[in-house]
Amino acid sequence: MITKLKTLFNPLAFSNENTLEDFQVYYEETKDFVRASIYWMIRSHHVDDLVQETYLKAWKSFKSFESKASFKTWIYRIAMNVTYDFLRKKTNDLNIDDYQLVDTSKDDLTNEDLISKALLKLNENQREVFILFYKFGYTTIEIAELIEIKEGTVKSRLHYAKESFVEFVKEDGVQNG
Amino acid sequence: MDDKEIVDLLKRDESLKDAPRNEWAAIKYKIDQSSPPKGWKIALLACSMAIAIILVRQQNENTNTNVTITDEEIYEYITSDSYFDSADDTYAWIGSTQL
Repeated sequence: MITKLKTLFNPLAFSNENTLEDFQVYYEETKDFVRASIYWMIRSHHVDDLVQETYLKAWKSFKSFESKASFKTWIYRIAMNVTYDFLRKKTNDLNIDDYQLVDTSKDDLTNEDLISKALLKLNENQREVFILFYKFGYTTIEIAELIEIKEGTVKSRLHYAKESFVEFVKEDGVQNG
Repeated sequence: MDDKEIVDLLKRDESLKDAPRNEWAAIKYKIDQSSPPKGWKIALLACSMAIAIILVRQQNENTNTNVTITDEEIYEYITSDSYFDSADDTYAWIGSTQL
């Protein structure tokens, strides 16, 4: 009760229930996941900018974030919004540097290049589901909950993504080792 | 290529570089840049209160219809007795034969 009264009468406390210190704790907990999620979607050095943009956007609405909800889920959705915006913009505004990996000649292909090429061949929705399933080990139900789509849709996207990915990798050959 | 092979293939990919060491500092800097200056809430509160006080005072001035009267007028008001001077008509029931 006293705390509530203090909050009520402290003009600085009205909208600061979630502080920057709290935000930093959440950042430390989720930064690797966010970074990996974005990187596997874009496969480029722009990941640093997009991670910063994600947390900046998250901070702007962090005050309304309820701690009962999962921060990881919440930040993931923000990260994907930022990523999709970036990919959309990149499609409209082609920059050769962004496709450096994809343009590598076939003989010089490393596993990383091959994976990049195969992933970037998938459409964004398929790629997201594919990465969550095969890279991060999420189940189809968990993916459905995370990105708020039906499990059937997840399975369908996963099926087509796998088909396309495997076909591409088989054509170009996997360098084992 | 089965699921396990795909997982293994993706596991071998180590192209993701570590985050820059000053990443949090960079984010915090951007947050500070995008936030309004500290103390703006207090300033906003003070301005709001000042405006509210001015409005209330102005309203009180506008609605104050009291008239200042002199001592003589007060004396006259107190001592005057208009009760007996009133020339009211007799009430209808006085002198009525019906009652």
